[in-house]
Amino acid sequence: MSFRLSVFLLVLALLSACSSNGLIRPGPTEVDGLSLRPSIAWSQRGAKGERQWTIDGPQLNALEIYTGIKDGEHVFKFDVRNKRDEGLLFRANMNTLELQELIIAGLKEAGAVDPQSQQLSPAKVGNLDGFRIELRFANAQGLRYRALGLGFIANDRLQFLLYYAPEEYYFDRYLGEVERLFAGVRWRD
Amino acid sequence: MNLRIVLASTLSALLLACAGTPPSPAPVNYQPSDASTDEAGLWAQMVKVEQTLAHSPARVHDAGLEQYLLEVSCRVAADYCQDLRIYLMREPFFNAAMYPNGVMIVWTGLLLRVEDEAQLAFVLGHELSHYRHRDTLARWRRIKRTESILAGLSVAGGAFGAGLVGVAGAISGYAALFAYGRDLERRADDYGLQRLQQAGYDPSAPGRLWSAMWEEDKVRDKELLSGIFGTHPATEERATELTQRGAELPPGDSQRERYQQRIAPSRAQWLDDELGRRHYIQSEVLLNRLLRQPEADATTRYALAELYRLRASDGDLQRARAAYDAVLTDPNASPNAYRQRAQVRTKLGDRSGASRDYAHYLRKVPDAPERPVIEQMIEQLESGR
Repeated sequence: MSFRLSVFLLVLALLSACSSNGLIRPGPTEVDGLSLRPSIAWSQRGAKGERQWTIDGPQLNALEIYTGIKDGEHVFKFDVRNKRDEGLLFRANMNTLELQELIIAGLKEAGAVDPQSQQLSPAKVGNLDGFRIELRFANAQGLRYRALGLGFIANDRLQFLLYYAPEEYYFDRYLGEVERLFAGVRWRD
Repeated sequence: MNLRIVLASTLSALLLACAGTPPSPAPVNYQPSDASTDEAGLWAQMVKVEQTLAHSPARVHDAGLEQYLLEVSCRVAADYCQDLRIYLMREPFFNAAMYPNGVMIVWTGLLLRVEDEAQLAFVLGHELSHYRHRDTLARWRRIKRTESILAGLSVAGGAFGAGLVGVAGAISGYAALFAYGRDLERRADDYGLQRLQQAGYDPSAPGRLWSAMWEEDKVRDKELLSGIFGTHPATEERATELTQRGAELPPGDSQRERYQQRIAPSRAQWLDDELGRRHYIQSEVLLNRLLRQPEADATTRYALAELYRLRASDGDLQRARAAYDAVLTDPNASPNAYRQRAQVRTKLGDRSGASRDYAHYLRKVPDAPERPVIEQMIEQLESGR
């Protein structure tokens, strides 16, 4: 086997180890330092730091799980986290109002139309202080979405979960599951 | 002369010779009559595009403002008025575009930057030129022709073993395409200026507009993607030429007051969208220009304070604090200024001032969606945590 081919296969193996597409079964599970306890099965795709869970497909319901966002990195755009974007970056000393701004700006940049915060409240994630945010936005075709987010900073890094679904029927359909999931989120340092 | 250079030059000349005849100007109320033509196909595509635009959530549903845009475009377009349909889209960039079927898109970032009706009329006249001269069709045909010739060049270059011929031909081909695009823009500027003058508007408007755009373009951070221009960037040449030509023409109306009255209710939202681009160096140039205008108000001063707070570079927090102070002397200032100043005061170590500002904000906006978080912040500030 040539040296180049060996390196290629090694890189491929490492990448496969990072990404984990497949089924998340009900029961306790670990996702990039977070302990979660879904009560129904979700499909997962993505890689460490940015996972997407869904039940009926991401257009109908999605739970995005962003973890380990460092000072100076993007929240949503995993692929460009280290590239320049004046302002739209997480800072470890941000207060909850600034995090709300960052999330709304990030959603806009990701293509959400007119994202609006409906409620921003303090939240506890185990012993850690966090926040809970409720949002509304539309996609480019005008379909209205609702979203529920849970975030906290641990070790100067932002962890953020965002559930979103079309506000008609789909958002409420799994809201109970997401509320239970959020209530049970724990950070395993 | 080197054989490759001769070949490349010959092929480049061939490209130019095959440029084709541009379409004749569209008469009033024009529609392609032959459904089998490429133009009819293009129009059919545009019907779908227009449906998407009409139902896009980015479309601004402000009947008064759309009606105003139509009125100005009709003053400029005269006979062609009935052919035009305008869609105002909420996008914070300086852009307007004309489709071959008379659909015109105007972005809110353009309206934020335009200072008076004469400047708007020039932009609309410029776009009208693209419609009247069927420029979309001309460019589309040109692109198709260039690409097929370049594909031929690539095959020929390979067959002759002269890779450089293909490269040189391609460079010439694309350069010719871009030059053609610039020619169409120059003609549209000429036409816009001519229409502006015929409608009795101030001919200095285009020069003033493009000089202002050039100021913003000069400071653009090329590593950031969010430059303000949706299509072609401003150039110093364009600003200079339009300024000179405007000075040679008899004066006209700017209709500044009427324009400013029309956009005033939307300015706060457009400024917020502008800051959302996160290209602060350009936004700072724009905001400082807007603040020099007679219409400058608390809304624009608030946007500048927000820019400093969000950018948070050296000295920005102090600048933001001073700017919020100035905003809050105006009784019409947004109560959000208290909440934002509270954040800045916290960072500057003024905890009691921050707590007072948060409390003041909650009194002004009792049903604020972030009330629980602000109440927690007040508690932390007052308890010294």
